[in-house]
Amino acid sequence: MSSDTAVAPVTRGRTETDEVVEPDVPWIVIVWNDPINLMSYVTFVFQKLFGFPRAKAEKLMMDVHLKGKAVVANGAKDECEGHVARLHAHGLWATMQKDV
Amino acid sequence: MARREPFARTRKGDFRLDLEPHERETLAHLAREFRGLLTARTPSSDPSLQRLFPPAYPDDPLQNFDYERVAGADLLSDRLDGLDTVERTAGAERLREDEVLTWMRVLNDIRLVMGSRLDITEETSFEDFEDDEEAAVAFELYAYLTWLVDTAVEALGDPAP
Repeated sequence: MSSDTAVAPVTRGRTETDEVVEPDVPWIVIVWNDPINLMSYVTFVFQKLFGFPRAKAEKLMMDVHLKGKAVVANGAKDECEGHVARLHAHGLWATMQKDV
Repeated sequence: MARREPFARTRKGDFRLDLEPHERETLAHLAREFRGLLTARTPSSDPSLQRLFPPAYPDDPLQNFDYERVAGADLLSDRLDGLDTVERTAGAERLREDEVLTWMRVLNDIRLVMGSRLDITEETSFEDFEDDEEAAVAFELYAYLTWLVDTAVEALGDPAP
């Protein structure tokens, strides 16, 4: 991966002082590659759970397959936990983490 | 040779379940065995179940403990409900769409457990089990379930969200 911005990193969600509460950092849901779930099945689950059109679901499935993982959703913590639970109910290997 | 379609959508919108009696018996038997495994064991006592109940927060045991407390019971009861459906309809000629969805999920769950036990990789083939008859039989069953899940996905087509 390359980046065309060679400037200093932007400080996100921080102010000059330390007195602010932790910003409402969004969370991301990651699906990891595994050797058992079928490509057709994973595509189907992405379409069903997230309402993605087939092309988008296939693109994410191929990312999982070839790159080892893909971010399939983001949002508030509770929302992401719901997504992870539904992915787990369908046998997909999903985890979540802060989008930092 | 005509291609077999174990799940076929009918004009009415439900599905024809086209399986031989011995296949129905095998699947009902597998569902009962799987129920026994789910009710007797936990992911910590049987690693093959870990694949069904993975951690949501792999690097944060405390948050993961919370997740399992909140979601774990639902995930288990959902799976047991799915097994009820498969056992109840194993002899049926027709399935509703939601029942096909449940079949697909249950058969895939069983694949996940069997595949974990067989240490399946993306390159695994029948030749890998030439010297282990028991594993070869299990792999044959695994491959059969793979075919069933794939045909269920194909029969369902693009899902309604």
